[in-house]
Amino acid sequence: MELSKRPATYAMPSYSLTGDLLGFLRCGLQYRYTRIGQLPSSRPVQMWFGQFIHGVLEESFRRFDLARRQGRWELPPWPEPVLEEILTLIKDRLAAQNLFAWSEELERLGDRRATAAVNELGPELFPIIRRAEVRLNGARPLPKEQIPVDCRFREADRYEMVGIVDVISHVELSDPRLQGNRFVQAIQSALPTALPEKFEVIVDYKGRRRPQCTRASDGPNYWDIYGWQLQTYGHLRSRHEDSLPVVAGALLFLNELVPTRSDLKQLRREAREGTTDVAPEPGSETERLLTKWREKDEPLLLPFEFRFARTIRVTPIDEESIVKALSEFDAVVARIETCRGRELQDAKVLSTWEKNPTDESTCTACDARTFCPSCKLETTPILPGIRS
Amino acid sequence: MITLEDFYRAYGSFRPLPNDEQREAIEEAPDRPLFIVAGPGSGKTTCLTLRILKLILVDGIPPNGILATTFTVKAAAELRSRILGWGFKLLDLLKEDSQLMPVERARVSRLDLNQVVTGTIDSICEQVLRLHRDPGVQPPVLVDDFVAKTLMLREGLLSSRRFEDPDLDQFLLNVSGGSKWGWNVGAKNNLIQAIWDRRFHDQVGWEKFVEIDEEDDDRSSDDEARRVLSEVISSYENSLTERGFADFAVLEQRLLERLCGGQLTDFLSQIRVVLVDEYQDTNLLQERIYFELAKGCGGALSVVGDDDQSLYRFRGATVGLFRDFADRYRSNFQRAPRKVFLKTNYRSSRSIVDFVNGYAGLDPAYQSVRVVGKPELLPGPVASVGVPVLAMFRPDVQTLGRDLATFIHEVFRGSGVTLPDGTRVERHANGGDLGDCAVLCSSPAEYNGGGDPRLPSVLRSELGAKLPAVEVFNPRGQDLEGIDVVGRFGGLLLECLDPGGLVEQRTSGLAPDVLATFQAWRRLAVNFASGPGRETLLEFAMGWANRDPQRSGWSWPKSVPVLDLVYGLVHFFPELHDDPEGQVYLEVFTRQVGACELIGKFKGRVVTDPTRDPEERGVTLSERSIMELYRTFLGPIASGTIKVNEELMETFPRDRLSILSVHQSKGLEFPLVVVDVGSDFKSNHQAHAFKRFPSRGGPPHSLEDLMRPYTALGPEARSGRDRAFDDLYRQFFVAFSRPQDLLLIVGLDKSRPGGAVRNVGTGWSRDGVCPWQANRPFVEI
Repeated sequence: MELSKRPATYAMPSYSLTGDLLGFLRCGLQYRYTRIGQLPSSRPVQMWFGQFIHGVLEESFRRFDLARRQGRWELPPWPEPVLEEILTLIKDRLAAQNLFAWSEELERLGDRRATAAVNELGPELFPIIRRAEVRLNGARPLPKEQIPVDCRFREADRYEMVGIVDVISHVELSDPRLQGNRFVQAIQSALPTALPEKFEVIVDYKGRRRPQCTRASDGPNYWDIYGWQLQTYGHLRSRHEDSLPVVAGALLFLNELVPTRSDLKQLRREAREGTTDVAPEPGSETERLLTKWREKDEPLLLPFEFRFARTIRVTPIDEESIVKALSEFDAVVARIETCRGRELQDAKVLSTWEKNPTDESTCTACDARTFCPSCKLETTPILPGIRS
Repeated sequence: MITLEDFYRAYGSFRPLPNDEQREAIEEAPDRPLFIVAGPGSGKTTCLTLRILKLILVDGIPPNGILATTFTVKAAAELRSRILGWGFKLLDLLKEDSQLMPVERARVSRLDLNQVVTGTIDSICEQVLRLHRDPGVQPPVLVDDFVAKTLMLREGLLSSRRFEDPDLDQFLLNVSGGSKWGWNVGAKNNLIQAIWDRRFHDQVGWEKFVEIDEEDDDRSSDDEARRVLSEVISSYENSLTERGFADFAVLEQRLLERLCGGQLTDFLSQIRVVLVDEYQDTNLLQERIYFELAKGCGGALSVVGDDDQSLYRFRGATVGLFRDFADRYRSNFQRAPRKVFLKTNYRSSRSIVDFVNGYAGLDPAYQSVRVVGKPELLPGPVASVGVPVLAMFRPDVQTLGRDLATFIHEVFRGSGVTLPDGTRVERHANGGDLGDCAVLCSSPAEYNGGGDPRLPSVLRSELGAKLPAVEVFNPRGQDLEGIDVVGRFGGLLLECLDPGGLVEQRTSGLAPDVLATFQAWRRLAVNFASGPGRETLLEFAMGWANRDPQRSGWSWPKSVPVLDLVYGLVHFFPELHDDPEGQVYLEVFTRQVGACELIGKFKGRVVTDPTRDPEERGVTLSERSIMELYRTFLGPIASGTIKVNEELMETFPRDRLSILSVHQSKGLEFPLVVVDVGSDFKSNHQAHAFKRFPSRGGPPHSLEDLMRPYTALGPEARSGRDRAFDDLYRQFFVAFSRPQDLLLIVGLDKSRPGGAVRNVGTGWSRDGVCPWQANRPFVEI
């Protein structure tokens, strides 16, 4: 009697654009340890700030939305005590997960940025938000043809892409309350063709400054990846029965609302070198203020018009871009699945996962750097120490 | 809408069509309740998946109106995979089906199956409570078993040295069965955690349960124990609330409260049908949640399960809720669910199906707790007769292990084995390997309490000595703290943090068994680090031990994350950073550091500061930070309270022999299954009677007896002994129904049917009769 072969597992893998793909592109081995192995990083890329700003915006919108549903239109700017209460609520929430600002200075900066986000961005953003923190998922065929035969270990022939969109916004161009709305204007000017009367825009908050538009290193290209993220989210959202045409995605780089000294220095350099897509207009008041500013002065708060332009980046969502984004997504998933298959075969981790030794900034913070075969930075662990 | 015929036409093009009994369940109207009793291998997940897809495609239920839950994360993932995998195939076919009207094809194209809501009840609770919350409300921070147990231990039991209270000790010991074997702080902690969970699972009237007459001077030991227990639990509860934490029981309770309070109308309005898998493992709290959800959709609740496979009483499951579902549903919704039996087994050969049927009917007293009218399993239409069930009995565990190892090796690495009737058993010609075999034991532990090797350990060494050698996969095989690499790693952590244990000696709240483990760990570590070629490790460890950066011009920082030490040491342990199995052990350490970070004063940091701690006399901040690491990081691991996270283990390796507990095997199948029915039983000793022929109930039954009188379920009518027997029959039923092609029962000679050792696993009924003695349903090899 010949025994049967045990049926392979049926579980469909699930991959998120931000958690899985970005992590893998930074470095496959690091991704294996932190995401799959669930080993925490000893030097977490500071999660507090991003989560703080997200939390404040989300909570603030909830309040505005509740009032709106009860017939009250209570847009920010809000008085300080109201903001203070929200900021404290979110800090307590993060503290429960052991997330803290690593310094008082960062905490104050966080407060200022979160306040600016609510009081300056809120009036433009909240009226068009339809839903916040929306879970999107979609199953796609697993790109098996991109996975070597000996690395295919799944019975499932699909994988699930997942993501959480910060905001799905709903715009009706004829709505009188949206006349003069800066968001709507930004969307209208970014889209080459006429917009439908009613449409949706995917909005994603980023707790960082606006990236350069040229590639700085061999690391992941953030413009591309954020672009794929928006196209993918747009595609997934458009499948919902209650969706309107999803015409664009908008990234909001929240740090631009309250830049630090180093942000301003970098902005000046990028404007000079032409490596940013949003620079002050030549001859404008903004240009004058930025040129005049000295690094030893207090950080400058440039006019809101300019800061808003630095904050928002609109990307049209269209079929062709969606197809490209999805195929890029597929290609990375295939690479991850290949590594998983190899690991199962060889029962080894170090030799079976792709590494990314050219991105030094990823390696310096990596807990596997001393034994990673591709990293030559340190070959033995260093004892803790500070210069006396 | 498409018709049922269209649906089956599309489905039938890539999968065999469902059988009549499955169709009964699939085709029931969407608003009708279903009570599906699904025997092993009967295609339960298929049936559930098809019902869901039919509801969407034929009945027009929107995908986000379907809520399907199951018991484990893996099962939820598998269900979701099938819904989406088959669902999208169906959509692709239907979109091109020329027999459909264009309007129907267009509707099908627009369907977004991804919006079906699937998950475990806990993941759904967490999601709903987070998304559907009012402004100003904090979403619960869900803490896992780790943190919950650590808090219970630290805030509940160790605080005020409550773990030493003699009344509490006696009370808990009585519930656990009275044996002091393995009785330690970890065991007490686990029992109290079980009581806490049951408080919610069984909806216990807690105030009444802990009520004692404060005026009574003549309070019994039991009363005193309840008083202390109440304090332990209150301290734990407060520690959760203060931190904004919720454990799983609290999470579910909160969802129920919000549902009953009418606060989740948005969520409820979306749900049209509720389907629950593994319903035999449900508890009263979950039943209430499901009934509340069902109320929101006119009673459209379908439950699927098998009472014969209910193995989770020890985690609070109440199988009677499944067995009596029809009546319980009727009293809530004034109508009866349709009862469907899935009895055709597509997994196993005829011999195995016959054997399993025989086993299920073996004990007359067991029949009364089964679902009324349950039919026998039928073999599938194309099932082969197969080979008879085999049995291997040997005089002792060494011989048994040796012969079993030879059998397995011959089948999977040799040219096969010839049975007494001349049949040859061989691995599958195209890729058959050890992954097609599983050895199931009630416990896969490699050593018994006395330190003697058990069958899993003998198998490991025998197979390892073969040519070619075969490795064993047994993650639950040893207590974590007893695993060599864990001991060496843990010991190095100890020696780096507190060389020689000076702070350890002054640390209160460490139980004797924990201290003994620490000692063993330190010895292992010192031996390891002193070995040849380990100079760099030794230097690193000495640097840490002396808080010396070993670089001139540098000094030791005042505060260093202990993770820096963990990862520094990991460098010297390829078993932990290059071996997928070792990764799972490492994750235990890092997870426990995470617990420290959440709940410790020093947040998982090693502080070097000679300043006196204002909160603890005579102790410096340095020492206090180390003490906290003892109590919250290494202590819980050494105490046996912390287990590996099995969700990190992808799948059973193809090239190793998997040894599993019966619980781990539930829902799985293997071509060849070896079931250890009695390798531990050399005699009729009372000590292991509970594993084979109980004389009374065990801790889960005692807990039920203790707490049921304070619940709507009322006291248990069935004796503890009977319940213990019922659970054993279920355990063996699950084990015997795992194989596809070949079942091999193994044990010691004394466990042969009718032999000296009475054993449910070798065909004894609880009244002391052994039908297998006269009528052996197996062939011995």
